[in-house]
Amino acid sequence: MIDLVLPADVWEGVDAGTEALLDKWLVREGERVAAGQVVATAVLVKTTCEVIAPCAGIVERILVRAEDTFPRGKPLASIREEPAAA
Amino acid sequence: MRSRPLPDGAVDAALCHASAAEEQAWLADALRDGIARPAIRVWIYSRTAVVLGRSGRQDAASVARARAAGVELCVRPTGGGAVLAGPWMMSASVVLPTGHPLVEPGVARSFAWLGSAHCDWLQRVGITARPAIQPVVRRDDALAWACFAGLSYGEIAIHDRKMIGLSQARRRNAVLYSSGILVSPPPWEVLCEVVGQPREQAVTLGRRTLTYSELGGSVALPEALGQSLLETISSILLLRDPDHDHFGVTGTAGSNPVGSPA
Repeated sequence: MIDLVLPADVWEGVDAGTEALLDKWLVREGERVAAGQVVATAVLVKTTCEVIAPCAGIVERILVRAEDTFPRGKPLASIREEPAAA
Repeated sequence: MRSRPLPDGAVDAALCHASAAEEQAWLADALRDGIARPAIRVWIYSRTAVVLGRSGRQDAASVARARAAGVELCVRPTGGGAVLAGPWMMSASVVLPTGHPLVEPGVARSFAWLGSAHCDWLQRVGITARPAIQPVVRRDDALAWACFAGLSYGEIAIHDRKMIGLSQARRRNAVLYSSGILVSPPPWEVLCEVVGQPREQAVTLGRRTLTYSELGGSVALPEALGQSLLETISSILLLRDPDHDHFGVTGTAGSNPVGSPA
């Protein structure tokens, strides 16, 4: 299982304790995603960011709902890695 | 939309008279399609519009309130709170390729160059200011919905009152930086009304903000003010672009084409 996160480098320089907002999910639980696919959007200090799937697979579970906030490093969803369909 | 481009160069730069809706359409195209070279637009608005940040909710009630107030309502691709666009505000949009040297990985640090660019411009029009290094956090702020009520990384306040707000949108193809500059006092009650907040908050917004005209600057020539901002940002982009000569855009920082504040 692979955790989907907002990458650590995006948080560089942001004050500890600051949280991001999960703006919108573009996929649902159980949906197949491709590596590099934009699966959600988040907002961190007045910046909208795309959340990118790190691997191909199935979105097993969404862990942060849309319009909820989340701290640095928090997994947003878990992805069950599966090779992309040929 | 009426635009006046700068002469051809390494930066696609233009001063635009447009509505907020036209501005948002241009931004959406630039972010979706990507860009071959850095692009800058400075926007001068003739019409009033409430522009919500990306996470702002454009629901049926706010649409009805905007219609009743006779103003446009739109959502921008960047984050942050609501702003009231109109003749009292000028904006800048800078779209850069994702690999551009000014695009830092960290979103907070990535505002630094834009804040400094706006301070350079303010210096050019006779105002000394510094970008914020740290945000000002107000716990449980009733005005957290309004862009100009708070101060974040790189934004500019003078005498502890905000004058310039910044925001970003990051896409795989491009990164958008936006600024909003208070040129003269906005009718804050219109913003409060459209977003469904108490009109009394307009007074607090007025107290937390400061505008170019309140500092003694002349707003008689908004085009000259916009042109000087366009030239300042263009100069900075050219200096950070090793692939091009530095003479593609006319005008350099140091001249003062507009009336300085008293």
